[in-house]
Amino acid sequence: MAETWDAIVVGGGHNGLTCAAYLAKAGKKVLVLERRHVLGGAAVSEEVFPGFTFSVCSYVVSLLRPWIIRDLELSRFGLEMIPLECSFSPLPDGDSLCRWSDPERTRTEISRFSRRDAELYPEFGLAMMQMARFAKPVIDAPAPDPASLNPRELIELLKLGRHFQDAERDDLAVRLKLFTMSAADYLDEWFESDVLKAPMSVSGIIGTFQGVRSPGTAYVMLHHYMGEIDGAFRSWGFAKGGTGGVSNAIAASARHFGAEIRTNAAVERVLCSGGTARGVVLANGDELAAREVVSGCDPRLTFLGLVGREELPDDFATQIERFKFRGSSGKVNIALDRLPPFPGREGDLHLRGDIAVAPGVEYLERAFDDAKYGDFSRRPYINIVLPSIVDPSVAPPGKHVMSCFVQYAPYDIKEGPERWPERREAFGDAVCDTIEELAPGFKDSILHRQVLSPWDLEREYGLTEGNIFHGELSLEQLAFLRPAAGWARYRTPVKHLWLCGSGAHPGGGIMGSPGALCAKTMLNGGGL
Amino acid sequence: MADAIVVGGGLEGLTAAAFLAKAGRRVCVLEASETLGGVHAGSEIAPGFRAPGVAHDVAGARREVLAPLGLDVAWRDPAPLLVADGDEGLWIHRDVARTQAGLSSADADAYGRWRATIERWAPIVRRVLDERPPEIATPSIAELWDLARTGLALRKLGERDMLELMRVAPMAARDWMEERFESPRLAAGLVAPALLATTVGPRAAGTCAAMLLRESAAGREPEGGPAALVDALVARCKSAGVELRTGAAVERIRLEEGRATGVLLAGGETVDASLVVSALDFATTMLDRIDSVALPLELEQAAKAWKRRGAIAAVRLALSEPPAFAAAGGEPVERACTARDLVQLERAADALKYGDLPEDPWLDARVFPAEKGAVVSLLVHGVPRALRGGWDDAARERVGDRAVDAFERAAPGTGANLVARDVLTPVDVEARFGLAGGHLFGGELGLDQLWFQRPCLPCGRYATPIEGLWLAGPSSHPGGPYPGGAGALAAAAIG
Amino acid sequence: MPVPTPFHPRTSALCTSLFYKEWAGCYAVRSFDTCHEREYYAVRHAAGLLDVTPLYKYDVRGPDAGRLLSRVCVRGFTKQKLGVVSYVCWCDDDGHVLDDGTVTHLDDEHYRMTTADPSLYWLNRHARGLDVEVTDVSRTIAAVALQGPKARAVASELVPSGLDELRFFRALRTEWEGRELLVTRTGYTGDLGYELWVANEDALPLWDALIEAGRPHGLMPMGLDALDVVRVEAGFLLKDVDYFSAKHALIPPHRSTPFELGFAWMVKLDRAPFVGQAALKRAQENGHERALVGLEIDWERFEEIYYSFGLPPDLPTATCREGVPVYAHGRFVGQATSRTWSPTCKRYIALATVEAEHAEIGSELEIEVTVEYNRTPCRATVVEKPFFDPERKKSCPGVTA
Repeated sequence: MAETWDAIVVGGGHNGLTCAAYLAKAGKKVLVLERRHVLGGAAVSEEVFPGFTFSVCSYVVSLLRPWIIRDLELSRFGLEMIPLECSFSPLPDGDSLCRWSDPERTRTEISRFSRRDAELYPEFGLAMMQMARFAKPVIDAPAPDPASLNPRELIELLKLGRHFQDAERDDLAVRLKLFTMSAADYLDEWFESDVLKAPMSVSGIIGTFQGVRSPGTAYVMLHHYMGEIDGAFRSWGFAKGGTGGVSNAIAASARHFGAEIRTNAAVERVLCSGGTARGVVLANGDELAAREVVSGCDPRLTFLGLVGREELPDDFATQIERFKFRGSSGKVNIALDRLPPFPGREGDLHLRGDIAVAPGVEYLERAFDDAKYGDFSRRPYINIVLPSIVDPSVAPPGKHVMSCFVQYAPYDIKEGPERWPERREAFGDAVCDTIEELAPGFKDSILHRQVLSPWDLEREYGLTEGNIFHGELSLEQLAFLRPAAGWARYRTPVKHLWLCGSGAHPGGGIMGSPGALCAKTMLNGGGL
Repeated sequence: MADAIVVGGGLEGLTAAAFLAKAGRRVCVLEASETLGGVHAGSEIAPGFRAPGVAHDVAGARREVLAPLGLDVAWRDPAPLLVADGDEGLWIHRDVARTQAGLSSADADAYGRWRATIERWAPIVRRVLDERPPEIATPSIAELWDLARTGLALRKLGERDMLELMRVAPMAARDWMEERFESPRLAAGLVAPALLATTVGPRAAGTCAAMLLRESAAGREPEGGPAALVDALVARCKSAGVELRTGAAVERIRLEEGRATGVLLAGGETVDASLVVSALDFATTMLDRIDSVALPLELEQAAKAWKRRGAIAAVRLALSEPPAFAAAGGEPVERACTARDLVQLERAADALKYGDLPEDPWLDARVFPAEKGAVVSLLVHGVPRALRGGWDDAARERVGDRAVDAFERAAPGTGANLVARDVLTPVDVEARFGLAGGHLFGGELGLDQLWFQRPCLPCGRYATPIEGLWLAGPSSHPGGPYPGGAGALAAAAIG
Repeated sequence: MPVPTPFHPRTSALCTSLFYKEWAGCYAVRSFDTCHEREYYAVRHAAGLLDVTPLYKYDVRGPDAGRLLSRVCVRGFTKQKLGVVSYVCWCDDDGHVLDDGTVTHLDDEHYRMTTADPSLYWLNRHARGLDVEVTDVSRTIAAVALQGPKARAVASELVPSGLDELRFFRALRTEWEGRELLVTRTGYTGDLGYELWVANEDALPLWDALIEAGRPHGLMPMGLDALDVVRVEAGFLLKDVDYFSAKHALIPPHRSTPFELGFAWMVKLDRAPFVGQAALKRAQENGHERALVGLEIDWERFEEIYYSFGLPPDLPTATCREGVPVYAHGRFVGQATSRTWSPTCKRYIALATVEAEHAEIGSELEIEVTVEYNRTPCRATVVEKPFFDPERKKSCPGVTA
């Protein structure tokens, strides 16, 4: 052991890299250890087939915090974001709905299905933006601790409570509804057209094991409206070069500030004794010492894998064991010879955003039902993007990359998760068959296909049970309960061990918040 | 001349009237039908066979809240629940030890701990159930203090328990049961009754909250079932000088300058009063009893959005002999649930989403003695108000058939003793009891329709933005499954 | 992408400047030439022809048509006579203005409503329990405004009889060349003028006929930039500029009661219940905090400020919609939201919203003037509106008093 690092970050995912960058910027000696040959975790770009670069797992950047982009000077280090231009919903009868950033154009589109909905759509957007104002301070600060009797903490809690309540009663009523209702039920109060409600409600269930009619899914819809008021404006978009571009930019920034990053450096366990972390042990046996160890892996992998139950208090270990993962999604990445032929529209403008296969609320519910009873959806919800249209660097000229996020593909299929490899191709077929029904001729244009089931996500990308958010974002696993009650501020029961990934507040998505907030906590009286 | 009019002579209306009269007001109750008691009223389903109330379970009745009325009712511990759908089953007793005796050792241990947890939390939950919901929009100092006291009571549970309660409340019942128990039947027996007032299955968020409410609320029940409670309330009202009018349908609640001034009865008679208390459900009150122009837009919006999708059918069987449950081991059965596992509950709830009838329904059953044998009252969950293809006689019979078949599996020989059968679909419930959507409990008990959001934020504390108009029905806190609460708390709020 | 109106083939051929804007999703000409001045002078001295098709129009029919409109708007319509057009606004339940427009009693149980924002949902929502049907005819009816001192002369070529008797804010249903034509004595210019309403397929023939008839009179097609000047002269508010719809309001200052907008004359409170009635009654009792006023900026002072920098005064010849603060004795009291130089009145005028105590005619205030990046207060006085009110606006030669 030649040297003692100030901090070793286990896992080179975007949160781990963000944490490392902030620590390095503060002058600390930081080492990042990534198991795979490439950085990014699930925010990664890989040339899966020659000439085609896929955003293998996550495929759009959602809420990468603008203050992180500024603090880490990411645009200087290669971060280029191309906003999503539209949201296209093809329908089984060949018709389609497309919602654009241009409100007038969107109104015209929606009024083809319902005039009344077209009138109310901008009002809904305005109401959601108002709601999203409340969400911002929540995701940009550590979670409040209601159990604390520390007056300073209670004041924070009161401030948050006041902020939540600080509105006319109408607003407050809406906020309460958003947290308790299902996405589809909430939309029913506004709109009548199924064609509109289905793609809108589906944003409420991405990455969850819930259906659009499941209570508690409405508030997730707010995420879509946060982008507008965020200071990053139009923050939903593609990263140039795939989502790996985000991770690479963060890594470049981290290196610039002095962090060392090693790939092909798998960590086998955290060196622990007497409830204290002292460093890590690599798979090759090397031991590295550090004052602090930060894990960017998910809670189960971190605590039950890298640390081990015996080092943990019993209570905490039980909570971690109970922390629900239940991956519900799969990914199908396809190299295409030409653009998919969705009928009824000319040109490719409508394909430059995201494409949602969500023709109706009942369709989505039935997709969920399949998963409830242990199978992937026969006719799944698919969120498709074709980044090659706006970013030709990811595919050979004239060819295209199609990224399909699919729900539902439950980790726990009735045969048992380890039998996923046998079901993988059938799953891929269900996806391609569904798209073929909407765009006849699509299958003929497939050059190569990669199918990732939750099992594969777990094996290859370290996502327990294939859950893309490092643990479900259900109400009981959020904020001060994430990942466990009393341990929601990045510290863990193991001294000098920290959690900085999506398993910590505020949770999943490519936000960078957990990583940055963990670093800030470590720097502010955390021992560094 | 009355000081106060109570619209609707159901259990809540009678409760409100009794309390208002006790406080010195002259009260007039106006009930549209010929019977008082609404869904809790007894009725004869065949000569010699009297069913004591469609909503047959009043173990959730707010006994302590009703106590000041001194009702002439005997309260007893509810009978044990048999959870069985064939030869196999288990009993859930009030007494923990007796229940544990029928469980595996792991489950017995887990059940003991689970019950102990519920018991620790119950006082907080009961406090919520039995108190007026807090004013959270613009609380006064007194109201903030009240809220703080509840917070403190929560904190007194200890950090661990408090956080655990906060963790569990929004959870899905299935997840909680999975954490705790092995036996699918035990889980089903514990979860099923909580689902009755909802339109979701055990995987839905918030079903733990429904369970917590139910477990904490369940106490002694009136001997003689719902009808006995109704009779006692009627007697109390009469002795307090309340004018009880049946066959007096209210067509309109009259408003002048945004203030309630009385009602207009079908037939033209007007009754004046500056205090009008509606014990009808929220949607019916706002959308059908108030002139749409006089109704503030926010109330119209809230009433339209009020979720009241009927999800239960009531099937009553008149049997010449009491049913013999195969799994009862010869013991008499008063309460039974034929749910076998959570998947069955989930599938039955799926039917509600798509407007189908459940293929494999589970039943919440009560057995009552009758003059000529026994009456079995069944509540079938998963029967949608908006049935695909619409409701007709054939559909009603299908529901009855499926219910009887399911019951027969649990209690063989029932068919042979069947004298008569009465099926009430959600449409029938709507028509007979005037409950919008046919929801037996006045509106769904999902997370977003509970407590200060029941029925909506502006009306969650029994007062409405319309001066002189108050709500005291099942669409108010605590809700239909907990009768007596809304009526009493509304009356107390009125003062 | 905006949609063309039925008049587009004619207006686009003439719009050599390519100065378009989007109005309710349609292409609307800002000015045909690169400067709008000629069009402005045409309206005030001869006649202008403006495509107003993008307005939203609704047919309200049925036994309860009048009741629906009475329920929605701040005044009742059950007693509105046939052939009468009313300028009216409507509010939400809190008495805050949502939109303004016109209601015309066209026929028995048939009213036509025009609005600035799509309102189908709002109308239908209040139709609950009423025997009425609301149809959206926004994109099936084309409309053109013919405004200016020569408007009657031009229109009479197409409608030989009836115009002399057509009074201010009245409607005339007539025929032209076998086509149905509705003529209303309405407009947004504060001058003599008419709006002509036809089915889409009759739009181009109508336009051609009007241009032909207008040639000897100096009729010119006009765009929205010229309209913006004349409407300020007429003292007319524009939604989303001088006030905001409560629908889009984010904070309380963005909401206005009719009283604050000078719409008190429209409001009839003592009648059957209507949307916002209780709130409006309270608002009327409590008085209002703000008022919409006309300002005249002191020209001498304005010149002085520019001269002090060695510059000639920079006249806003088009209406400036950038709000500027208004002060009273150095204290911020409101904002001027539409400002323009009136070529007809030779005055620098503005529409402003100010605290009620400073809204009396004659109040001396200051608006902010920025010259060479320096902000200076400039005296402005509250004056009567409209700034320009010619007698011809309401003239009716065929009707003796």
